[in-house]
Amino acid sequence: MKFTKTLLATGLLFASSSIAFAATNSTDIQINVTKDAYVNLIGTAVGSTNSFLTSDIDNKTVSLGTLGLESNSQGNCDMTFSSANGYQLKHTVSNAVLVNYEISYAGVTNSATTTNTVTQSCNTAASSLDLVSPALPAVVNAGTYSDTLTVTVVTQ
Amino acid sequence: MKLSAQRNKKNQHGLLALVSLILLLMHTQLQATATDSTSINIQVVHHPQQQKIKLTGSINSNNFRPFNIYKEAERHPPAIKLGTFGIHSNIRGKCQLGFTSTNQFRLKHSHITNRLARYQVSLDKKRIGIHNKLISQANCHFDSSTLELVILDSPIILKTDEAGYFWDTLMITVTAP
Repeated sequence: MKFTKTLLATGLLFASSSIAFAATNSTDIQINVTKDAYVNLIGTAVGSTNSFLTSDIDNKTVSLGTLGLESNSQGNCDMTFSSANGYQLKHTVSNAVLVNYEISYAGVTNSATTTNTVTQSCNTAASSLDLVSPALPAVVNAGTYSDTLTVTVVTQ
Repeated sequence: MKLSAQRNKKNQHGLLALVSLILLLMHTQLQATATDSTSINIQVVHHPQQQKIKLTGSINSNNFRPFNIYKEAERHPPAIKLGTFGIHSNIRGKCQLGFTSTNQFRLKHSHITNRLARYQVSLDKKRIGIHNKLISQANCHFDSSTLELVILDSPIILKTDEAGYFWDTLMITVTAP
């Protein structure tokens, strides 16, 4: 009788062990590899300072260097042009206006009165950025006339 | 009771997954836009002391050759071409042209002192006027224009049997602004 009970207990123990072997668990491990998007303005015009004589720009088109884009984005980018003096060259002391000029880039004319956004591929080879000046006034006071052009690019 | 707890746990897991998905989308959206900017400085310097001006053209020559003014006046009345005249300069705008004459814009016979033929100067067919000092405006830089002498009196006054010649000396001064 005693033997029977022991055998039954052993049987129950095996059954219990069998249930324990069937237990399982799992988890998901998500792996994300990301690379920040970038776009860079390239070319000789980037961060440049361009100095001219009045005779250099009088009724002429002069180059401010080259400008292009490089990016890991395959789409288009919007390039926005703005001028600190509203596309006017102003005397550094008297603030007198020498001339209202235009900026020509990628076949688009940017000025105080025309479009100031150029949309093109985010990977565009550098091409000429030009300043277009009409004829200067008859009387020009001596001194330095300046303006700062800002170009901002944003991926679409 | 136990079943309800399991459902709540499942709901919590679902909510967590949804939030993670939204955060992931936002993260992706932020990374899709990139930007760059640059400043380009433009400076233009004006030095008035660098002004240069030079008279050009055939009348600027020192070996101005005399001509038979009577025949010229008959052939091409009333204007007689003196030659070409221009200004080469790095100055913009208008310069003042001043004309002065030894004989007050009259051709004077070398021997017959009272034989005078009044004339006028024209630049590209535009008469400058007749005064003791003629003043006109012109661009400070232009290529050769035609300077002509226009006889105001009858060409007959230039016809004389007396030997000699008619003469005057014309001086041109260019003044920059």
